Amino acid sequence: MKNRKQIAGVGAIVLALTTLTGSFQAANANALVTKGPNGEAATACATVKLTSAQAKSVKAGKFSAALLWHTSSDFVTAVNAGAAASLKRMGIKVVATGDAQFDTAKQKANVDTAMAKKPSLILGLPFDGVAAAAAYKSAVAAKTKLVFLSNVPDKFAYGKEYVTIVTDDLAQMGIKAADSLATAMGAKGEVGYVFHDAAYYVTNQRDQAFKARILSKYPNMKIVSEQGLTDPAKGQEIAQAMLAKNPNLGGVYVTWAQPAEGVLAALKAAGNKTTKIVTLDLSEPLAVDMVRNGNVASITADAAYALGECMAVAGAIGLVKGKVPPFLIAPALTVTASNIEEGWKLSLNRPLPAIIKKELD
Amino acid sequence: MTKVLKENFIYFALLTVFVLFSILLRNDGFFTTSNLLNVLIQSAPIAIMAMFTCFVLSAREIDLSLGATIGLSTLVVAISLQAGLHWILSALLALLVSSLVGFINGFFVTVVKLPSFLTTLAFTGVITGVARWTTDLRTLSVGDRSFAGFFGGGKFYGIPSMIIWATALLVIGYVVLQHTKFGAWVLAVGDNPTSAQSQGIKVARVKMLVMVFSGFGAGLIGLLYAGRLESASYIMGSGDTLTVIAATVIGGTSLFGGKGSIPGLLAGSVLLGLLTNGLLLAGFSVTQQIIVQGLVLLLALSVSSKSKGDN
Repeated sequence: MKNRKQIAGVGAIVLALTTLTGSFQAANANALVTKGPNGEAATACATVKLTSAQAKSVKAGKFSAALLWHTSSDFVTAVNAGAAASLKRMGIKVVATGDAQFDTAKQKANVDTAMAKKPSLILGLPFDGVAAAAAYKSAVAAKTKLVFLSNVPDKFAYGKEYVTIVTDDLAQMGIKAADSLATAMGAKGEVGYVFHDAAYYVTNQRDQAFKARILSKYPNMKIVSEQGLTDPAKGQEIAQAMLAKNPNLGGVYVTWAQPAEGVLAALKAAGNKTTKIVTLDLSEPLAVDMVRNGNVASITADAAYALGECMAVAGAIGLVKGKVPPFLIAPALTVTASNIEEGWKLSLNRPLPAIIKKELD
Repeated sequence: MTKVLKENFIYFALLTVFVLFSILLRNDGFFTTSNLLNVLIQSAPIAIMAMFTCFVLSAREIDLSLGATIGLSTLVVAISLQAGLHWILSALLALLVSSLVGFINGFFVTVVKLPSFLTTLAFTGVITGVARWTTDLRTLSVGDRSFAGFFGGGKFYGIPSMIIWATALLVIGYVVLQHTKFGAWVLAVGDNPTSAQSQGIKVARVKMLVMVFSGFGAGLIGLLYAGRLESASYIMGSGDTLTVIAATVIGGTSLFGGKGSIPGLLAGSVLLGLLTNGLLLAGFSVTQQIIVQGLVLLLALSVSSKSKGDN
């Protein structure tokens, strides 16, 4: 009887482990494809265009738009610029611009305030799905067309409350960062993994795709340290601890540029010239180190300006009752010392900062 | 600048900004009932919290943990509601937990004798950490219609409940500060604790009470946010601490104790709300909005603190 129980127990454990392993592998495979916040399949932004008849209707409609972002950053500036330029070309007037500073109450205040100008269209990033559902209520009630960047308010339905969601090819960004680190490390060695420890769809998908790619494609690269990050100012401390425990780290993946700057500072302070860094989103200090052939191997960037253009065009199509797919993505690009000038322009639609250009010359 | 202008600067500033926006933004939807109501609704939580903060500052203390406590309160109520607790009990539980935060702050200030600036700053980390850990960083949904209607999201006889809350609490705050013994004790303790002690006022008890009130106030704001935004998150209210202190101080409450003004902090809160609203409607870029808000705040602080002789 006792033996039977033991056999049953071992069987249950084996079954549970098998199930867990299976689901883990499935999760890994899923992490390699960008999906919408509700699992929507992606369509390339490049395929979304106004027909000439739609363009005429948009121009004749005398529409207006509000641009309501979650924060201020290089990325948001570029998205905003792309959206504003594209709206202007189509004859849509921008009547309000806001920044919620990652504050859910301010997010609602911005929407309510912008509604005083009765915009026909709002382009925005609802940074907290649950809170954003209440924040965008007044816009939905006024039948304002909504195009979201990277996220969607809870229980909002495509085609009913919003026109579409636009985002980066998030999984591709993680994959490209992994491939780039593999190239820099000769596809072998110990890897540190600094991920965003918060429930945020954008960073979570990018981080998971990096990890899944390393695990699935590079058997000789071993992730020896995983460290979650919530405060971007803590990059340096995390890297110091990681290096103290794993002195042979060949490379570190950092979830985005600001903490990566801290990781770079830690490596420099330790006199470490061999550990490579890959990260996401362009940053001037990281780019300077990269072109100096320092620790930074590559920066994977999104086409932020193109994202703004894509949101504007999708919104315009929605205004004239055209059909837009539910989830649009703009491509990712790997920026290295060899393509930094084109990469900077393509991502942020700005010329390369003088300090980086000087290093190149 | 005349004494009258200096002492009433916040009201002149509010009137000037209001008239300016009404003229300049007349075609931009500023001077509409719905927009002006929006400004009041958006300013209400700041004004309510500023009222509680007025007591803390008047007693020569400060509470930097109020933003974190707001977030904690939203989570306590959301978790309780999701666990099936009645909305009134959930709200009371959130107020109890928030008041407890105030009590712990008060304990360290009055018994351990630590400066409130450091105590509340340190405790902010503890509260935020607990809130993050409890929810695993998730934002929780607050779906109870009765709760949302009563706290911040509903209307009563056509008047938004947020405005009713603010009016009622500010009137109570005004009466308590200006016309009760407790209000007089708070001001006396803030003005000169040694002298207050010699007059028989229990200084530690007064300080403990204002810290508990502050926790309770933050808890109440948490309920109002959770009701209005129909959600709860550890990050909710985290950006409010400095806004609340700024609104209180430009409204005539001294950072160094002994002087508080409830009408002034109301004007300060509405001024900050008006600026945010008007600059957005004026089509200012986000960067320009931040610069103008900073400059107006600096001007208001310079004049209002000079009028009280705070150096």
